[in-house]
Amino acid sequence: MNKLTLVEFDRMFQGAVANLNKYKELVNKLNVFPVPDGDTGSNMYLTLKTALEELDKQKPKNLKEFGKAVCEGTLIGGRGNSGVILSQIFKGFFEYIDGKEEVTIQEFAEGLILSSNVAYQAVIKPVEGTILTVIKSMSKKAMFLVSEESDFVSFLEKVLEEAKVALENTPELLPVLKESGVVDAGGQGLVFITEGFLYGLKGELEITRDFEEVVQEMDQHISGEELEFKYDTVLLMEIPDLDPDQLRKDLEQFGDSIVVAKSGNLTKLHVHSNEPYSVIEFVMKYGPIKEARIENMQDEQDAFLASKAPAVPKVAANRFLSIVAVSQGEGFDQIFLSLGVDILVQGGQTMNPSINDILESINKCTKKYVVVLPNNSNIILAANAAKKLVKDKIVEVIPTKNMVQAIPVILSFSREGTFEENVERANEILSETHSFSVTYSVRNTKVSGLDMKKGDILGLTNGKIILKGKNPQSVLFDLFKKNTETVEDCEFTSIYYGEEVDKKDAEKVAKRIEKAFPNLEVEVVYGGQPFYYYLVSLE
Amino acid sequence: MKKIIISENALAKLAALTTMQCYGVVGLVPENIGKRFLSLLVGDKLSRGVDVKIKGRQVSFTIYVVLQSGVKVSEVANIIVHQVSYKLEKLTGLKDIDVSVVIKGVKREA
Repeated sequence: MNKLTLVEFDRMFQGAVANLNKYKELVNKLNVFPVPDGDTGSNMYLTLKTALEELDKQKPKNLKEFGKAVCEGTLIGGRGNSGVILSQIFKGFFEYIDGKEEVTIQEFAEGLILSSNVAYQAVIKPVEGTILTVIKSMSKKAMFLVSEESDFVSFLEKVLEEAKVALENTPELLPVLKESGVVDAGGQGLVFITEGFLYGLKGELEITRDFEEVVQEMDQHISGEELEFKYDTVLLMEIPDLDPDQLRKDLEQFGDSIVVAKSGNLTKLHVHSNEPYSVIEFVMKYGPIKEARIENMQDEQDAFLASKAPAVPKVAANRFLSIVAVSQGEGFDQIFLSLGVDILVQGGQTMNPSINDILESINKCTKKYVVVLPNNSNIILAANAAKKLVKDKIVEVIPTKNMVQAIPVILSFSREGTFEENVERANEILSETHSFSVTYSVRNTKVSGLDMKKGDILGLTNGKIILKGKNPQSVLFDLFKKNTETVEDCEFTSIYYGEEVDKKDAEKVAKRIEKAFPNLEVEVVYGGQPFYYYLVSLE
Repeated sequence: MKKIIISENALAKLAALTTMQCYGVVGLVPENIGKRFLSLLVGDKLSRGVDVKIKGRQVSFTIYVVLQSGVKVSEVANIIVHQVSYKLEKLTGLKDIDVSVVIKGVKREA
């Protein structure tokens, strides 16, 4: 293959999204900090995913429109630093490709040079050892390969190899990476994207996007009742000359949620119906079927509903304000709901909710006054940004840095006093609450003079790493011992154990703590949070 | 008894240097400048692109920037807010940091 057309580009792009989706957690873990709170991988994935949605919406008929859709999608969906850089990379490339219907190796390589230039243009002091270095090395290698390669697959393979070499070299260029013993997260993301291009081009990757979309749709309008149409039918067909609009209309007799997407000779059909066989019989008139998939959505829905935890009875929310809290872990979900939190936003470590997620939750609240509890230092900014976008409500963000801090804050709200007084009191309580947490290091690194190995258990007080150990229980006990002064000032402690901890272990260590600090009242609660073995609040 | 004083100017400079490293930022400009004389600050004057207000323990920064056209402006502004509050907290130990970004201009693509 020595030329790429719309069909190949479409496959390559889908390959990239799928491959990045597969490895995004791995990229997240490369964040330069031992506690797992990175989101570079998720950000890059969501950026590309928006572009994919844009492609589905615009249904480009030529390469020019394809490029436009990708550029618009990555621009609108750009999240985080790496997402913004990614949008520039695509922009540079497609601006160069503009108008061509076939792309040769030479043109592809020149497009990469433009990508790299545009990406560098937007920063005055480019930091080397990042995604920028990787795209630069790729484009240089690509230009070098132009004279010797005539096949796109082997060309891309060599560009990918070069990208991997450049990635391996990032710690040499950026000391902070070397100190933590990792490669750059954004650069790693770009390598996975390039790898995805290659898989897509070779047709080696299973593309699962339709399924994901269907699941999302179902989430939105799910309820307990019987579905009107039971079967989800997806067909991949070869129909050379087709009027998608006509086919769409014709298919309406069978059911709803009809999608007809055409790309080159291939057409993808998606119908919800009760008679999948009639659909197949009908479309066979148009051309041969390449692939077919039929799923029973009633089963899916039943399974989905069964997996949902039974509703928790709400405490009669006798307040004049609504509370929005970010929560992670089923135990905490239940605790928050039972305390009268109106809307939960799912998210936390490695999965920061967007400004929009928070904004939507605020808008769902029924009361005029809304308090937002971000429960993670990385989410406070998003919560504040959402606050500024709300028009018809009065919103305050109490900057809680983890979920345990939120609990005394929620309990402090009362009908007595004005909204302002409530907020002031909440902030006061927040400053008096101490928190301990026990988590694990995701890689070998060095922080505040502590040498950490991957898998070491870390003890944190108020977000700072102060000790390490091998066993979560003894690390927790040591945290109490190390902070004797603070602990003796407090009367009450709640220990929330995470999803990976056995209840008996948690109770044992609680007994030990009770013995060591006889004046302290200890409570053990199931939090079900990921990443943290224990979260502890002291009041 | 120890006492460490960080001047407003030093804080402004730190914020300015951090902002300059953010992706998508082309430069800083002073707050009060006519549209026709939009010239980027360089060298020691960089900190004039940052306003620092200290109120009790809270330090508020307002940063006036010019961005590259074609980038998602809101996201870059978010990155600046994030980076500046993170860096300043880390370097100075200040806890209560408030950052606002004012986009004064956009640089045309070359």
